[in-house]
Amino acid sequence: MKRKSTVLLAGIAITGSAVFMVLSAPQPFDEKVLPAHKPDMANGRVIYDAGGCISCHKPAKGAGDVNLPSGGAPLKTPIGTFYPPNITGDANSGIGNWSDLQFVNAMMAGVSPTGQHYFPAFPYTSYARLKITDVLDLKAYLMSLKKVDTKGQKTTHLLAEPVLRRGMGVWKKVSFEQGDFVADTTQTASWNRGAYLVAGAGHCNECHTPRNFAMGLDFSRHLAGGPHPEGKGKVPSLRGLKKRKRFSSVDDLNSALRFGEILGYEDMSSGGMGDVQTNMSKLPEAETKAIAEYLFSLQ
Amino acid sequence: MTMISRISKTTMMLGAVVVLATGGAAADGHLGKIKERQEAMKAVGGGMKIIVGTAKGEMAFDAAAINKAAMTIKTNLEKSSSLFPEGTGEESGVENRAKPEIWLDTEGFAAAMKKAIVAAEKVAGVTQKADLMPALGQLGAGCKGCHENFRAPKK
Repeated sequence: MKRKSTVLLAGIAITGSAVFMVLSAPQPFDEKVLPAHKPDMANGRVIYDAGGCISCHKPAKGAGDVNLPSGGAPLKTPIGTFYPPNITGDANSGIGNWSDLQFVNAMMAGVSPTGQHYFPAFPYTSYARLKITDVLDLKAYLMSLKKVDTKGQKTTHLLAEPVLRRGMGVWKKVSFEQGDFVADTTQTASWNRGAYLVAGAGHCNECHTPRNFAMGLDFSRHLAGGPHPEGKGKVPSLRGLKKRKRFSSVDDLNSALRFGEILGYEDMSSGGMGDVQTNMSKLPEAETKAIAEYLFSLQ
Repeated sequence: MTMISRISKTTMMLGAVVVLATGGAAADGHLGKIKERQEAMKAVGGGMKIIVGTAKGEMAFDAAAINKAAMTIKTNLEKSSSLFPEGTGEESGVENRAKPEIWLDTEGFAAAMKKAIVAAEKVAGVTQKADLMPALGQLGAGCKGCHENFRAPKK
């Protein structure tokens, strides 16, 4: 009897592990997804600023040029402290040796060049909406920046990281959806441009859309605001901005995105929005205006 | 009941009353500071409205009005610098948006406040419209610099 239950338990454990390994297996893209493409550096820069890459990939305080994404500044999250990596083109410590496919997989499949899952602190969940050509342009832009050698820089080490990391594969099955951004043909081109920037590079949903029990984005409450991911306070809703008289017009909202508190727009600085707004201020005006047009239209 | 136990009981009750009263007074003091600084910041906001409105061209340029608004900002910022005593963050139990970083990085907080005060002074000295926007840029950056590091998101 005892032996039977041991065998049964072992069986369950083996089956369980096998199921876990299958469910959690990384699923990178294949070379075939890459189009023939000549990188557009200016567009890469737009994606870089819209994504606000520098906000997370900045160097630690006093550790380097704040305008280069050499990584290392600590990012505290409920599961531990992340040290975002160097994404300049340095061959050893940065992304200098990454192939285009590896970069696309990192950005859009959340899979590292060594075939491991990234934690969604890196918002590939949003970047999955990007056009592959935009991702390739971003890579070209990053490679054009001054290369920073960050050998010896602190890297992320979480408790039980290998298991957690692999487990992200299961989380992805539940909470990560791939697939292109879908335009709304009843709207203007600029509205759709705004919607694309918000959903993709801008990764606005990561904070402004509340999460469900599985920590996935709850799109039934799209951009409706919710608890702040850092645990204190709230992230405001971006719906009904017009009705709630938060902004008087698309131009007013555009001006808030471009200038923030410099033009006295309150609550464009706290909770991490200050960095977001600084990055948006670097975008060509047509881009922020498109974002404003889209957001202002949300009921 | 013996005399002694009655006395000790009375003493204990008195003690409790004293503790409650002083506790209340401390909380009142904190509440006062929090309210005062919130009022000061509202006055700053009022000044900003005039300066921003003028910079945007919604109001005609009036050097005296700009000076007055900027001085309101300056004096209220100076006043509020002393309205952040330790214990008046979220631990005070009073709803407010002061982040613990104010007391973890007192030098950084003082420097950020100072930057805004200096910028307000510059705006106060503006005599022609062309100089307003650059000066406001500095002042707004002062608001932002302090708020992004030391002010928590809305509850």
